[in-house]
Amino acid sequence: MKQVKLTTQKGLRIRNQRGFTLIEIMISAAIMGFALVVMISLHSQAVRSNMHAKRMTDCTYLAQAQMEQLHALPWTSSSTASSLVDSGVDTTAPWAYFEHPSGGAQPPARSAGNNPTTNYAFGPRAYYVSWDIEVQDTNSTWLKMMVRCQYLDRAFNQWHGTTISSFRFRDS
Amino acid sequence: MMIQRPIALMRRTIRRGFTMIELAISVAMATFVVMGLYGIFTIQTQQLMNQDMRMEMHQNARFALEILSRSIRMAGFGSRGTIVGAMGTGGDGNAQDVVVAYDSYGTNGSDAITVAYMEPSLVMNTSYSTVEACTTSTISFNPNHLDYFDRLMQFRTGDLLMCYDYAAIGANNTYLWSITSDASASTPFGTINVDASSATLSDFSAVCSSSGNLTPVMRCSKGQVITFYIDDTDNAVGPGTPSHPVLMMDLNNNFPNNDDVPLVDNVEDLQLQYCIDDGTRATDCSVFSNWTNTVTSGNADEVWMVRIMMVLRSPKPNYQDFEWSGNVRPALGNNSASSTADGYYRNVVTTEVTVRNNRLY
Repeated sequence: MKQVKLTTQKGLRIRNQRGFTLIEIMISAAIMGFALVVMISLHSQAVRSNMHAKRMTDCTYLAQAQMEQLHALPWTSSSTASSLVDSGVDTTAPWAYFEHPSGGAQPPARSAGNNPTTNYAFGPRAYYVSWDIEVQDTNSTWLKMMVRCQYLDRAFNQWHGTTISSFRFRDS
Repeated sequence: MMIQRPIALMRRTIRRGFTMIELAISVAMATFVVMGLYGIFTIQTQQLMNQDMRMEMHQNARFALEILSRSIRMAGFGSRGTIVGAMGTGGDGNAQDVVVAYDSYGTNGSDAITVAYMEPSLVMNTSYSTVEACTTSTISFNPNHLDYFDRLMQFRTGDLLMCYDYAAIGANNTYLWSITSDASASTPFGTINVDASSATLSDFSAVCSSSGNLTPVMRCSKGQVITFYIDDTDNAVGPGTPSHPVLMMDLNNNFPNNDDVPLVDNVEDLQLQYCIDDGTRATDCSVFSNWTNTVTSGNADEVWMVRIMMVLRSPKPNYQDFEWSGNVRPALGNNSASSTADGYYRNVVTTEVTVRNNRLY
């Protein structure tokens, strides 16, 4: 290496052959680092989308199950199940909880294999199912039922989920 | 030349090559870089496999739940609650209930379910001008009527024929036969040949005695008697084994059998619960105590809701992934969890369906 310093006449050419400087190494390492970070973030993005798909599936099934229960509830002209009462608490804010089952407050959390009235659970209790009943006419002969299932994506602090709606006519 | 000399000398020193130290350092650095890259590559590959496995499981779960929901939701269609006369294949002297529950059917305690209904897209009336005896092996239709020709052509050997006798006021006579040969659509009367060999079965002769006649006009269609079960036994029947449980669908009330359809691989547990009306027609299915694990022939037509729960697991265990290594099959329904950790990744799905046809009567 000392040889190089001695030859000053064609300094530039000689320095070119000397190898990489620290700066060059650092820049190239930085570029490679960025590429790796992008690659790894793509990967974690894929994992997250998979998780999101799973949660949306679970949420949809939970909402559907709740909707089926609302359809199966006995409802006659003389008595209306409490879950089918339009309590009038309208929800307008996006991703707010609906009026049932806890009057617009946070409903009990459920897990993917879980119904609040059962004792089994699997996976995190991350889902909140709430529903809204709207009476569609003055005689209360038909109802609009909306069921929402939502979960919080903690990585972005965003609510995701689904809202389904259906109608029901009075049985008798 | 004189000026060139030091440079020539210089070049010679460069051509001397790398020193041992330089070489060792650069090889070491290259090794580190390659090791790092290879590590990332390994993790990526592993994660790709894991994520792909999970995705497939989720897809399978959706598919299985979709098929089960559709079939269970149709239970009882066209039968008015009970099929009182079943004969031929599946006829065992007992009425065919529209919902049959098999609690703890499988080796691992998984449940099975049979639902019976009439295929809605193939409904035809029998020919009113032909009176057939209860022991007949031929049911007549008029292929010139509406699009009966096309419908008749859908009835094949091995299918089931289900007829609802809606002229019998006050009685709920629904008959079920197995079809012995492909339908013939010759005019004026197309025919479906049915197996009458067991017309003396008690359930059938109770509603249609051997000296009696069938009502001339019956509402008939293909009978769907569908059973869902998990094949996890190590036998020569079906593709399933204990390490490879398969969700199966039987279409001819004869299971387990090699003609059953494999639906989804690696379904480890299927649990079914039923909300049964107590006769008041005011049962609240959101109350857990109204749910049960079994159905009797007495209340099969009062099953209002069915809860379907399934455990799907990864095709193979993954011992390297710490997240999986402690996994056991979770408790579900009335089936307790397995006691040994086996390192499979698992996915539980649940939904509920209303058996709407049962609520009509």
